Amino acid sequence: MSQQAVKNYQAREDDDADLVRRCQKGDIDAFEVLVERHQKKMINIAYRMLGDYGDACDVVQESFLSAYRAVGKFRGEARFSTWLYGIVVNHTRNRLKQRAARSRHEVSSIDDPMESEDGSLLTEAHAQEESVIEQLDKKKLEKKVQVCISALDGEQREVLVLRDIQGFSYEEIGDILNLPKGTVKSRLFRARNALKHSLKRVLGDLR
Amino acid sequence: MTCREIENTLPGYLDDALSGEERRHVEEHLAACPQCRAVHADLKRAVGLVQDIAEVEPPPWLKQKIMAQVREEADRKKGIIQKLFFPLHIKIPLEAFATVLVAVLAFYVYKASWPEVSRIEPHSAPVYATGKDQVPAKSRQTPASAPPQTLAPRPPASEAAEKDKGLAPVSQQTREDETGHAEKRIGGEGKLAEREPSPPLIKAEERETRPPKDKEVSDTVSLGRLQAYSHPQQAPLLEEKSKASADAVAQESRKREAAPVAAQALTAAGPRPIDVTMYVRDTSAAVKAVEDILHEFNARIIERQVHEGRAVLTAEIKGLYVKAFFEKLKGIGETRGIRALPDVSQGSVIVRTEIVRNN
Repeated sequence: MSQQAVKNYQAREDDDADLVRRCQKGDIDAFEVLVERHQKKMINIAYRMLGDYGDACDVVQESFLSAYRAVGKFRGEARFSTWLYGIVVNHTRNRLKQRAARSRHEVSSIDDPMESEDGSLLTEAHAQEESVIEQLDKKKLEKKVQVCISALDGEQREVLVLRDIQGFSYEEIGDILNLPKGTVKSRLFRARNALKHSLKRVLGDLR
Repeated sequence: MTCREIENTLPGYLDDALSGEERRHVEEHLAACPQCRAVHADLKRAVGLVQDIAEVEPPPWLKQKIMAQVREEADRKKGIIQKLFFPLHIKIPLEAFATVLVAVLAFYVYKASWPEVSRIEPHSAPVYATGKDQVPAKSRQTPASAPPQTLAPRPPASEAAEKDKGLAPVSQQTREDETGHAEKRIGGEGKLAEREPSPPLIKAEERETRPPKDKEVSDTVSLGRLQAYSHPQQAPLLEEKSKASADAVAQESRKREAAPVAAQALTAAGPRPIDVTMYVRDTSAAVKAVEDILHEFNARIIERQVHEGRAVLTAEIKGLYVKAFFEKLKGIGETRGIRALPDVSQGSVIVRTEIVRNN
């Protein structure tokens, strides 16, 4: 992070603190500013963990409403953003649990052959001579990556999304997930290796 | 380090999150092991793919939807506060309750303080106000002739004379009653309709007991007052103001006495206040002394009329205390009019104490 970026970040946190104080006094406009400021990060966290945009929107709404209800109890011990992202992670977990409960019998394993959009089996891809990556446009590739992320174990997925997609530091992830730094690291390393295996299986050659 | 250990360490190597020694081991191994180099390259690529994944944008409606929910929530919160303090459907029962409470409180306060009110009332009573100026004056200049001006609407002289005539026999009967049927007399005190004969009776008694010079005046005064007393509907006999106060007193005494007295009233011929006249040097001191005694006996002062040199205190006193009361009166000044006292052990009687300056 450059010095300017650090300064901006700190300024934003200070702004957050001020806005939070206003929210606690009942200023709804201040809360709107916080929604504006954090909704993108929130929806990206939720979307990458859930793999479904509509569900992610629902979860973000629920999370902001929970945050509004609980903002009076926020004492500023952690950063507001960290507190907010913790809420969205929790709501995402709940949504995943609901989903799992709803379609337990339909759950597919990472080892099951996955179908691409055109109906061809992705497991056949690596048999082809040319790199699949080059053949797929970016969007399609992202979909495959998302499938692999979604296939990760829940705990590993959280850490991977927060670290490799959202770019949080180990400390921040520890704060958001309420985990020690060592646990964050070990989960992240396992998540990366699992993702690599998964991607290799889905995409074939990664090089 | 084995290849497996290296593979587990590589994710940290990517983040530059290894210790210096670990890092050195990994670099040495990678340099020597093409298989692990391939694994490392795959990992780098995989993580790169994830890191490159495009961010999604929130839908434009998301913020609006969130804020709509938040505002609804805020309104609901506000609603709870409003429900507690302002809303109509709570306020009305609250107001009604408060009104009832105030009314009940007012009633109790009124009830509790009534004895004081009744004692004070004659002070401000118009009877007193009108009588004050004229009665004593009359009593000085016209001892036995015309009735005072204040009582102008009094029945014509002939009528009064008729009444006077007719009273003599009744007064005899009174004496009989006094000795033989005391309870009867007490019984009727609250029954206002039956009070009619009482003023003449008093007159008859007064005639006997009072010195001639005061007789006529006191007769007319007491008659007038007692008429007002027992016949609020005949109030035009008195001035407007006295009517009002007399009404109030009459109504109040009716209210208070009607119930317990009703049964006795059936047998009673009518209420007959016991009259006593006192001659003292200082009327105002005597009035005070008499009042004190009345309070001592828990008597309720119904009427209090004080003039220069003359005062009348009408009080309701427990029959039990009547004798003792008269005994006490004797301690204040020369008393007249106390004859054979009725033996009253129950109920109460009305005692009219006239205090006259002894010149």
